[in-house]
Amino acid sequence: MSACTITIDGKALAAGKSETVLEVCNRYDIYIPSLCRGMGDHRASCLLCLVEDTKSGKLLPACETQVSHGMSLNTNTHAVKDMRTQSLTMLLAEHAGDCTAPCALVCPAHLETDKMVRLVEDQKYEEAAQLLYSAIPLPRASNMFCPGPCEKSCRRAEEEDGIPVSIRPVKDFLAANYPPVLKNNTADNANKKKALIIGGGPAGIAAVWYAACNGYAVTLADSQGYAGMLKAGIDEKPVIAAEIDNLVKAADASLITRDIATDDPLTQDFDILINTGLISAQMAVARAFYHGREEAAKVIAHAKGVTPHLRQKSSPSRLGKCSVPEIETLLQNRLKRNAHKTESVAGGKLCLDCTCWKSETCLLKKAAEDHKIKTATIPRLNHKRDLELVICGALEYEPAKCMRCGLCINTAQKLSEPYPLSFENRGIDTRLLFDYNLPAPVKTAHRIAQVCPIGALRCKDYGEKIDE
Amino acid sequence: MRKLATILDELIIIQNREGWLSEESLRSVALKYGLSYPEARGCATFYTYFRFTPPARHAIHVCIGTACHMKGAEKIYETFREKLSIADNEDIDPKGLFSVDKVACLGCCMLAPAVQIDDTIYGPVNPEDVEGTIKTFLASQFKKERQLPVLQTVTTNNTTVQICSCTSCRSAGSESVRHAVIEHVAARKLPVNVEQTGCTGISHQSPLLQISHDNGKKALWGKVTPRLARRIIDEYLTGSTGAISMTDRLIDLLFTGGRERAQLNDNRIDSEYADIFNMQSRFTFAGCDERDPLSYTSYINAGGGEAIDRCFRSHSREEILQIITESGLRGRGGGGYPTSSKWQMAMQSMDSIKYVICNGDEGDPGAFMDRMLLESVPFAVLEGIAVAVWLLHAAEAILYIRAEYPLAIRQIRHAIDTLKEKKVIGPDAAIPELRVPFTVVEGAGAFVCGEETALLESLEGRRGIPRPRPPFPSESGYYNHPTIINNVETFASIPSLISNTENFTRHGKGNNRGTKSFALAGKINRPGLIEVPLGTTLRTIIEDIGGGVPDGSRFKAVQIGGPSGGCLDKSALDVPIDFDSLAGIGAMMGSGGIIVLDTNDCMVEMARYFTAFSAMESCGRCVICRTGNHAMTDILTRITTGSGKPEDLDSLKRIGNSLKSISRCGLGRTSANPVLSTLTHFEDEYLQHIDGRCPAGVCRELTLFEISDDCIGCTRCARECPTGAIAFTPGERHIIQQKLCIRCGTCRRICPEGAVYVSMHDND
Ligand SMILES: Cc1cc2nc3c(=O)[nH]c(=O)nc-3n(C[C@H](O)[C@H](O)[C@H](O)COP(=O)(O)O)c2cc1C
Ligand code: SF4
Ligand code: SF4
Ligand code: SF4
Ligand code: FES
Repeated sequence: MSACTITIDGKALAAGKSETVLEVCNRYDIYIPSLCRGMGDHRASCLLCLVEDTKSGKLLPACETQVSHGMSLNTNTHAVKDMRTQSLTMLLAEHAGDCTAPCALVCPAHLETDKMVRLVEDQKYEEAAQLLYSAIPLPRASNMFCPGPCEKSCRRAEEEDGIPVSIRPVKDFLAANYPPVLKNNTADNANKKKALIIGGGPAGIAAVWYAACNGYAVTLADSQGYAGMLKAGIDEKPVIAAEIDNLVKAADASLITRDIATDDPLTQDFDILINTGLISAQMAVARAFYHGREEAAKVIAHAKGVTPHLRQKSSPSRLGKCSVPEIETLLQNRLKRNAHKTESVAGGKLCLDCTCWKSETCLLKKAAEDHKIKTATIPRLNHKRDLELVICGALEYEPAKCMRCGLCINTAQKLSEPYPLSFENRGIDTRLLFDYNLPAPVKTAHRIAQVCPIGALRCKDYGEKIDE
Repeated sequence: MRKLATILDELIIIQNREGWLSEESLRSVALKYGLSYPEARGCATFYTYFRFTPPARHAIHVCIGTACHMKGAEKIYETFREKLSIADNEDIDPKGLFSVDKVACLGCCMLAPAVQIDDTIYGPVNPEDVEGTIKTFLASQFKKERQLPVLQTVTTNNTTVQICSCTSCRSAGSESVRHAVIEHVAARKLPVNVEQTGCTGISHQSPLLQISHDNGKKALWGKVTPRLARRIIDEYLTGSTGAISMTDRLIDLLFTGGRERAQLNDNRIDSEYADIFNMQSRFTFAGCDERDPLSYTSYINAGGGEAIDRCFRSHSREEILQIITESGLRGRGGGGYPTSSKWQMAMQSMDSIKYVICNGDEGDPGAFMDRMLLESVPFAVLEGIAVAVWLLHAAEAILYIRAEYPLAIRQIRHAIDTLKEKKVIGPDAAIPELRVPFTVVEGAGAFVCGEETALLESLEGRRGIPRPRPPFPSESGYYNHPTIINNVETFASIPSLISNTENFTRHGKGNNRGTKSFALAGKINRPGLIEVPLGTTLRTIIEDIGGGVPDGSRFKAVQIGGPSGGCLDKSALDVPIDFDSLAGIGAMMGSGGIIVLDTNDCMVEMARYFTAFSAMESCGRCVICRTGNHAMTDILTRITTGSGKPEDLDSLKRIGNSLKSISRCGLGRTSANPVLSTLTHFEDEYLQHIDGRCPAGVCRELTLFEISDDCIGCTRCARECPTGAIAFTPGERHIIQQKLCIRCGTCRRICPEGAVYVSMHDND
């Protein structure tokens, strides 16, 4: 391997003759986004890894370009960024899938609604209830005041009968049967750090619960007690009063019934101070819950010297409105995935499981977030969406999400026992083709699905059975 | 040698035999070639030539090539489906008698809109002719093939009746003319030869018949029917023999009246076309229209074979390469890459195995010069290839020709067999270097396979996804051996270039030498194929050779280079056309299709058509190409249907520029040209659409027809309007009731006074 020198972003770097630009950049830790990243006889497809040739001004895909002596490239010019954005926008334009389920996306309290419903479907009620409290500490109150955008946005509400998955009844059911519990609450309040929360509205209550869950001994200060804007309803609704009581008890919180200013000497007694008084005044209940939680999270993270970790609500890819037949397809997909489940769970329709299973680790989603792609700028194509889930052996494939990079095919060919896989059709209709007479064995499926940079290909979850 | 026949070769055979590829046949072929079923099917589904559902008894192919599209092919397709009651998600009628498909280009632009049913081409087929066409076809199924009399070859008194045998003329009925002539000549016992010839390029006059005497006198007729052919023979040939009796003449006169007599003169076109030929420089086309394309003897008599002779006898490889270098020959396939550099690179390679490939894929939906050359001068093409084989010491020559050109494939195969018999090529060839196979491979219908690296993939039996370049094919091509790939026209020009260099280089100048063929179509009086020196202006091509735009319409723009080319307005009329000048003004030589547009053609709709074509033909590798072209098509569709927004133009430019700068092959890189060039020259027209009007009256949602004061009250429009939107008011100005009008444009087409115009005002 005779060496040569190339210039990247003005720096001269040594490179091996047969290396690609992407390999060199990776070696020197020069960031180049890449999804379809090269292997062997790779052909550039995602066009994210573009770099600019300083001499010709041409944009080249780093993964496909072999280095040659004297080459000079820039990785960060305006044109490069612009075109990467274009590629991403186009990848997302042909991409039909929800990074986040619509119910969760619209929830003003940022509840992972879909996850909760699925836990209920799986009869993991306790877990579901605690997930619920973490975002909505007073579920019954929220049911009373929140107009329920989750149910309105539910895909299944777009069916002819207009009935969504019964999200709010599920919340009521959990609240009625599974009270809030502080997890791992072993220490005595006296041994905990102390948190003072100013403002007793929904935001304050959310902050109480968040701080308590994070191991603080909590005190709330409000001249009106625990109530805030819920007060108006409280007298007629003993349920809510009881709910507040339960939560406060569970959090083991104490109350100071006077308004405290942030510079009050009393605040000196506390390790942290969370002021929710102002922010919640104008807000709807569910939104206030989130703000209380967010405020608490910021303060606590600051105290610990870390960056706050809150669920991000970015969602580069959205399925948008679905036609009735499309919803029928999604339902069939869900039933295919969970043959044992039936249509009626927890007294309602089966959830379609809209959130992408790869949502946490998807490289496309990450790239879109990194490049700040705005959903509004993504064109929606007239081309028919192929939403049907394809299952072949242990492999599950969603054509509408596939970015046709061919990584899976390449990998399948290079296995010690190659698995037959190929693309069919051409252009935008390109999709994977399986041989149904040869279902993929679990181990093979696992290997192949692993390389998919996004949520298009998945190995059926066999838990620990796969040994790596 | 071509390593092995690939799975694609075999699939084409099965498709031709069975009419479709069943899972069963795909599986068995896969097994035979050691492939998996997904690989076999994945490969087959890349190509549009194959069907994957059982076929109907007869296949109807509606041509949606550029010329047909402009004449309403989409509507014809819909009408066929409707008349055959084909359900929405089907392509076969309930009785299983007909399937209806679209096809990229039948190369019968003069018959537009053209339709092919099994092997017969019909045209023009307008919506009202659809039912009739089906009936005519069904009736023709019962006709029996007639046995043709065998004519004696005449050696004295050389008079020859020549009938053009190219696909264009055949689809216009030249075969039945030829049969009629043979029968007639036999019946009259005339001492004349009857011969097929290659193409003249005057395809709007098809079919053509020429009588040439040994004294050099010639007479040419166009639009010949069997009747007219018999008449011509009687009038022009029997005079000398006196075989035609007075009574016969009398009967003819009585039964056909003066009409045939008049046709005899009206359809005679030699003087007009002599002029037009003189304006051209027919270099590769030379002699096409004078000889039997399959007669090797007449090819040799006309000076053919000399190039290969020189290679063998008097010139070294270096000398031949020098000739080609000095001639400045650039590839005619679109890119205009200097041919000699490619060849030199391959010659210098140390690899002992090299290949020569002739690219006859010609997927541009408006060009058919390669087909014409393969059909009409197959020996010249093969000689050009042979020179390359000799230069390279190549192991094999491969001709990749699209399966939609059955006649071209037949002629070339026939010519290869002849050359083998004559010991020019093949195992017994006199020249040792030519003792290699010449193989014809059929391409199965994917525009992108014209791209050289995709073509290689396809030849190796895979999906036609372009390879990364470098390495270029001349370094590492077919099965990784050095390979030169050239266009049919490039090869066809090699023999005369070597034997008569001066004749080539005197045309054009600088970097753009020689001649180039163009396919003229659209709003022009004499569409067809022409060949002119590089550097000829569009004005000369359109006005002098093409006869200008038809009376009553005004020139608006010209589209050059098909889906990868651009639209130019009248400011470009005086630019000398060559590779560099076109690239400079946002168009491209491409395949050499020239479409003339007049004020009744909509530029936005034109851009939409080509963008949709590219979207359909993208191989699907690069995200920007497979998705960007769809996104642009969507935007253009919005604009042509009245929901365009001003921001849309920015989106178009943005996507278009990305396509240009980051696509990985020529298809993607050039696919935005139609949009970007129309945005440059005709932005106004886009804005008018966004304001709610299509000035050309093409986009239905944006059109309002009105009748002007020029109306003479002839009532034709009132009678022809399919919805009765025009009241019958003889002698008075007619009025269109906008509520009933469906914007079909019939009234505008038929009004003898041109009184129907497109209103640009909102008056409802
Ligand atoms: C999308 C696309 C389609 C093409 N189609 C053809 C074709 O049909 N025929 C052809 O000769 N060249 C075609 N080309 C050009 C070929 O890639 C190649 O440049 C050409 O065959 C080289 O021959 P030449 O040097 O003689 O022009 C096409 C290129 C692209 C990008
Ligand atoms: S594959 Fe990635 S981008 Fe697509 S829906 Fe899933 S998480 Fe979002
Ligand atoms: S399924 Fe295969 S081709 Fe599609 S995105 Fe995943 S790895 Fe790429
Ligand atoms: S530009 Fe288009 S046709 Fe060319 S390789 Fe990319 S996707 Fe395929
Ligand atoms: S990583 Fe280079 S094109 Fe996808």
